[in-house]
Amino acid sequence: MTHLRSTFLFLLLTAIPVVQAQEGHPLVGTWQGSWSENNNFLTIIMNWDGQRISGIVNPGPGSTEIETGNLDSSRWHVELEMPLTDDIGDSADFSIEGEMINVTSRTRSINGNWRYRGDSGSFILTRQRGA
Amino acid sequence: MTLLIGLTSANALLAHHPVAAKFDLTNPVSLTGRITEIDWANPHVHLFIQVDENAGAAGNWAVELESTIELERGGWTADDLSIGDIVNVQGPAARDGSEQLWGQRVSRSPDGLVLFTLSEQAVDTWLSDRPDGPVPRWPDGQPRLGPPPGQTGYWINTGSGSLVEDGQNIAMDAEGVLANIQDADRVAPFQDWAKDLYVLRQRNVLRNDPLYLLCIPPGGPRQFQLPYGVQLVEQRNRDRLFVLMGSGNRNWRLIYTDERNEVSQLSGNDDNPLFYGRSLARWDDDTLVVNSGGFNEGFWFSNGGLPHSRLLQLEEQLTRTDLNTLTYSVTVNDPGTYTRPWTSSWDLQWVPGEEMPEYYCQDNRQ
Repeated sequence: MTHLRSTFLFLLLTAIPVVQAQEGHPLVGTWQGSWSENNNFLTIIMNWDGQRISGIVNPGPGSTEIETGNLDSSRWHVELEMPLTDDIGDSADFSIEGEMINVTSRTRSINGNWRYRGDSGSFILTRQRGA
Repeated sequence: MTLLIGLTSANALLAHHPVAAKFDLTNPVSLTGRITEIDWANPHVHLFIQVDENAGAAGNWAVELESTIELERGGWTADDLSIGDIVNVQGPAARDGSEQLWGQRVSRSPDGLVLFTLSEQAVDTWLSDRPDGPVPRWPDGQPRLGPPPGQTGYWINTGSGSLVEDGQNIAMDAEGVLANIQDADRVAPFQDWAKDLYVLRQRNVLRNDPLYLLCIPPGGPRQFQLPYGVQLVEQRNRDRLFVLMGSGNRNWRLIYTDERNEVSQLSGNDDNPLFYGRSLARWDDDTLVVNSGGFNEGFWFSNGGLPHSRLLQLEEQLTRTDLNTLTYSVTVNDPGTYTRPWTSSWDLQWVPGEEMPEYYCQDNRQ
């Protein structure tokens, strides 16, 4: 887990926001947060093509992509699923479910819960300004 | 309250930001105090008044008024009040609880003179004396989008509040705030997320509008909706047209007429989306047809908070039908936001004999 944490920290520090979106689809852009009691960092760059939410998870070496992404805008409920690889190279599904807060703000957030390998907990993903 | 609603629904030239976004219309206050400072500047004139304990909420209050442009068109100047004058101010207080109010009614003591009033008919009166005339043309017969030779002038929007699909008649104010939120479905063929975001922005009275919050440029059709006009400067020897705006950030958009391809300065639209996109135009008889793409998502492309995505493509048509009228029509094709292409049209009016008023947006109003 320590290796996983340090990898995420490295990726956080080297991640370059490549999506300039601010005011379009509320999920588009760069989001960051941490999960688990070890504060594993998570960076997701999401996009929207008119039909599907896609995204890169922890960009850089070892990055993965969002497998499924849903936004129920009637209640601003978000569901994301993506594979994450642990420090011994095993991959498992990581899922996020939560509510988008301050939707019209540039620094909106997704507050909810994560699930990974039978563990779960709460977290906050925050959209990065200017990204 | 009736007066306040009347103010916010006034003509486009009588509004800068939605008053209700900053001030709580349900919380009117009346204060009497001595003027300590007059800041006669854009985007809003401010009076600062010292209110005593026995005259209302004690403190140094900032009274926000319209811009210098609107006030001066209404015949008011910075000399109409002096430091030390006693005034009574009525209007809604700031939502954030700070010592600010919107100056709906300002009256001077002891004579009771009411100052800084603006008429909804002022623009009509202002434009009623314009001379009529045919479309001015270049020697080769192409319509001029700017002034006739040797003259000055620019265009203002006296009609559209925000983009609305042609054929729909929807009540809204000059900033595009709907009179009835139930009309949202008829504004445009939104995808679900886009309609929900639009409705949320409307319910928030557009308070997160990046144009006013951060001075973000108004790309696309919003350039033709803003209150202080737009100027079209044709540079025919360079095959391009400048679109200069009298509102918001002081910059320009370029429209090329040299049949170039739509490519960016760097490596394509995907890597370098722009606030104004990339615009290429051609003449179709007397209509300038402008096709634009390559927009980023960092701005609102219309008053009223209609969203868009990076897939946005616009076809704008500009037709000068006589000296004083420019018909503007835009077809929005954004499969990331709308279920089908749709079109919105309105007329702009020529303001002869003037340059666009100088107006700068101020950042740091967060």
